[in-house]
Amino acid sequence: MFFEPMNFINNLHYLIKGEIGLFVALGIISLSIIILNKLSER
Amino acid sequence: MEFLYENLLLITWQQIIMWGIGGVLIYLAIAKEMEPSLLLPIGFGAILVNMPFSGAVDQIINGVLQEGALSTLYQAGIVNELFPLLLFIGIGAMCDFGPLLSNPILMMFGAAAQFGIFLTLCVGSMFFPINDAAAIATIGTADGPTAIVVAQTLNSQYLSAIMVAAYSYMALVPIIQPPVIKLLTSKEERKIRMDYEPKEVSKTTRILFPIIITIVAGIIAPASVALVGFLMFGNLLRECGVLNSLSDTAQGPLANIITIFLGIAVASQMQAEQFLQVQTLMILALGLFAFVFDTAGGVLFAKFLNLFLKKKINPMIGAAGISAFPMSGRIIHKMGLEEDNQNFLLMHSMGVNVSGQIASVIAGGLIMSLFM
Repeated sequence: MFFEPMNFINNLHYLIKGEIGLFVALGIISLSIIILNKLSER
Repeated sequence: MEFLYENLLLITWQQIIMWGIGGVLIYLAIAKEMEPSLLLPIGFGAILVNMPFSGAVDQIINGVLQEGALSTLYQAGIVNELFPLLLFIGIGAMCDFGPLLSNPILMMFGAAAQFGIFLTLCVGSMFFPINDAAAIATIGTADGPTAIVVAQTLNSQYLSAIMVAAYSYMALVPIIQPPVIKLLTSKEERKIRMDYEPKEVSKTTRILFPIIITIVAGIIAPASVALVGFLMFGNLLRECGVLNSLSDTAQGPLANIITIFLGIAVASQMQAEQFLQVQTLMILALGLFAFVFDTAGGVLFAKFLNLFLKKKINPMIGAAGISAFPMSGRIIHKMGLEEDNQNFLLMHSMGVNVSGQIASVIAGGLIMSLFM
């Protein structure tokens, strides 16, 4: 174990990449379900 | 008669502490009913492996390796990630995604409530190498099997501490979440009522849903495809309507058998010399941090949406995106009733809660993709 405060800043891009990845993945899934629901209503 | 007491003299104070920890886990499992199916095997296993020259784990005696059953089980089911993945078939078969399918927008709360995972990754990297920090951050998935798979894949040396933290905090969700939610919301916000207009979800949608999720997750985060795929395979067994006996087996006997093996096999890594380290305390603190900021992420996302919505959302439901299914969903419902006894949030909070289940698995896969 060590203490390197700068690592927090250096690794912040993982937070951004991770959250963007999640929103994109779940956004695509949500859209797919909305389309599926619309199609099955017909 | 010497053989009767010579082992007594070999007991170390560290092993006695581990017996205490094992005892506490057993107490929490039985007396407090906190995740008993896992905390009890882990607690008992912690005692089992902390005997001098315990025959339950591998020992080198006189230069000869004597294999222990728990070490063999660990190699057979944890090192290759088989047990957590098989458990996911059972979890998938147990999940009813109906509330989410009738309101798919709820899925976004699942994404927001994984914020604590990635923030913990950054904070943890100040103290641990990045692969260990990433593995520790997955405690925030509130999903034991995901945490195990990620820790194992990233070759983290802290698997046992991560698993104990993940399951303990999952059981502590009713204690962790309410104060964070109350801190971030006003009484008026907690009283917001949400109409529930159930929509019929077709069988086709229910069947295609697990397949779509597997394909999307597999393309965006290929490392997550085993995790997501096993979860969704279990769900497909449930929803297809022609494999009810397999679905029942996955939900019952399969999940139970794997849970027994998983808990006791992980305990093989709870030997005093590995577990009693300052790092373990740090991991427990980071795990709590992840849970707190997951909850905050979900609540703040709902409050952010309310800035633009005419029909306001009760921000408490965002907190259910933490996964920890179904406990978190029920807590939000209960908190809603405490503020207004006619405020029924259950269907919304459960929809968000199952979205958290999916989001946490994809988050685990994203972490693996980022660091493999």
